[in-house]
Amino acid sequence: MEIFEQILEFFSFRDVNVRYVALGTVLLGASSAIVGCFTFLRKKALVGDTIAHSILPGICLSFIIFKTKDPLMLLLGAMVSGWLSVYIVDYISANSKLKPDTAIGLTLSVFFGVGVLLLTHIQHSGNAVQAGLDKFLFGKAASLVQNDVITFGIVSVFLIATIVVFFKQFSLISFDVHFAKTIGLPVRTFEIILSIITVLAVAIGIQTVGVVLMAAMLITPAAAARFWTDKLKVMIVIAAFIGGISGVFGAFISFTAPSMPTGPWIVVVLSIIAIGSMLVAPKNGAISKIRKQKKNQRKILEDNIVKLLYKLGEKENDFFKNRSITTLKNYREIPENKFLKGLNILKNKNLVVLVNDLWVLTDEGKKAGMRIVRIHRLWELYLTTYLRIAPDHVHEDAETIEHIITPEMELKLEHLLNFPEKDPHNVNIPYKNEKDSNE
Amino acid sequence: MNIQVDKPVLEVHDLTVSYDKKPVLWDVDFTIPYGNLVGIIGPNGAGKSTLIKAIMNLVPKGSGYVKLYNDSLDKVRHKISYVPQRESVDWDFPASVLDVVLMGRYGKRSLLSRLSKKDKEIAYESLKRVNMLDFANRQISQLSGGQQQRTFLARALAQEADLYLMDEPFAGVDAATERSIVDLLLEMRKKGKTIIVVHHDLQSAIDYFDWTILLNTRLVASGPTEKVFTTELLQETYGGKLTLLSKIGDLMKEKQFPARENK
Repeated sequence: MEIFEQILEFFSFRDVNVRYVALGTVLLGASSAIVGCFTFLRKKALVGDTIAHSILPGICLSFIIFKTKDPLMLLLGAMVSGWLSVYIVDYISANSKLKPDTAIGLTLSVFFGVGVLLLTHIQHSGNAVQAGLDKFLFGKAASLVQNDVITFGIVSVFLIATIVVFFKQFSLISFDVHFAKTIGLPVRTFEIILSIITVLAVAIGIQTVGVVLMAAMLITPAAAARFWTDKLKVMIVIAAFIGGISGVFGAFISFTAPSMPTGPWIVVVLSIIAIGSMLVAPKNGAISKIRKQKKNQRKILEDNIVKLLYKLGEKENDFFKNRSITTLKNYREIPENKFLKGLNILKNKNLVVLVNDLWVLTDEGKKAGMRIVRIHRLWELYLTTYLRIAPDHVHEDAETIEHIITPEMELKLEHLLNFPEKDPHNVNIPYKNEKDSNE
Repeated sequence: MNIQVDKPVLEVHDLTVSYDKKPVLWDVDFTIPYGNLVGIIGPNGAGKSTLIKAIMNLVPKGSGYVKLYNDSLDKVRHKISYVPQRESVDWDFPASVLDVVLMGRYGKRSLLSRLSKKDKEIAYESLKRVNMLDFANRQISQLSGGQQQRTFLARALAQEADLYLMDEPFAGVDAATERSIVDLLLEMRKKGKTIIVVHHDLQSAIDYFDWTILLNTRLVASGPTEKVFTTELLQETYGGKLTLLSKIGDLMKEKQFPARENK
């Protein structure tokens, strides 16, 4: 019961502290996710990670110099070292033989190394106010106080406003930077604005998430959102939502288990959302791919059965003879349960009917079977004519293609081959309007 | 052969461009008359794309200058449209065909103003001209190569420019699309536009272009196509690089030597 009480306690937002922390984490999660969309689209995910790690020495230095935990002062230090790291990565990539990934790796580790050194130094200096600086490593949402939330809130609003105002410019330089330059857009200026807001987004997030995992806050919501939409604006809204939710969840954990660092929990939630998106997203998700496969298999099964019934009709000159599954099995190696499943689907589609445990084609069913057979033979002829494939090599190909050709393609094929009468094996190609001999 | 014209739409003067100090264009110098369909022809690695990038100020110049409408690029930017290579962007970007075409209108607007109804009309009209109206709301990742190219062309049309610089607009498109693009370019020329196209197929070049520039790290020829297309000049263009020239280029890279003394 305790957990329910805690949930109730937290989400009723009765406690003023809870309110601050929840508001702070939502703002932070949403704004870093929004900024992160552009980091993601410009393929600068690792730069986000560099900034996050490089902010640590800035915070420590500003603490050593100003001897305060005032968020504004710490933010200032964070900005300086974060921005410096971006500049160094760019400089190394542009002016040396080193590739960007190496420049990123170098810069990140040097800055973070220095940061950890400074942090250790501060913790051993016996300074009374130093307590709790280690929260910057892995984050502690519950440590947010009113003052922090006001500062971070203002910064978040500023970040979101910047993105809204310059949305066109940011999307243009993310998509086609050369074109942006040629229409006279001050590309460099906008790139700098983008890195400044990225640094800011990371800087306000580290108290909650920590420098080590802050990059996830930037990139993961964007990556998850990309699965759900092909529209940039929608993607940004979804990312903001995902970022906000994970933020609140992190805050909740931080309240219920105060000794727990928040960052890892937020990342766990984010990752679950991202993996979930990967699996279930409608168009690009893994599950929809599996579903498509299943659908294909079912279509192939249906087509094959109706084709078999038609071909038997062709052979025995009786399309509407009742046939048992046992008979059908002699002609095609499909397990009995699959036959039954396929025939039942066909029955529901009114292509076959069941008479005294025997199956028989309907008029519609005969047409459907004829269509598959026609496409099969047309395709064989197409392969021998246009791809110059030997007639004894075309059957296997046609066995697959017969299931995927659309009515429009079928029409094209017929016109292209000029409604041929015989396939490459000299068998008749059946057409809709033709009167069959037995009718 | 280098035929210079009076009052050119484009003047490239002694242009040298280097990558990592190695010159990829040596003292290229030519002029182009108004209202022509111009082909920049040369083998792979001849510096064709670099040439139009240098004209558009996308790569730094080692020496020389470029004048458009007898002015610097910044003064006449609104009259000029650049169509990058199709492969230069990531087509998986979350945008629709219409979004991309509307980008052609950004240059006509101040930084903060919104696109108007008229901008949209122009975008739709441009899509119609490249036969892509039905694809306006299609996500760009679902386009074929030819459709991507036509989307880029529609964006260029939406710019309502007078001079067009196109980097390999026929690369990776099928014959029918190539034909329709050529028809569009001819129609644009009829309206007095100048179109400069990077192209590497010799066979079709002679049919398409009024004016031809033969390039192979240095300018081989610039002039009316029928005068430039001689066996001799073509052999010179495609007969490989000048050995001495490439050796000096390599040496400049090795010694990190500037293209000009004072640079």
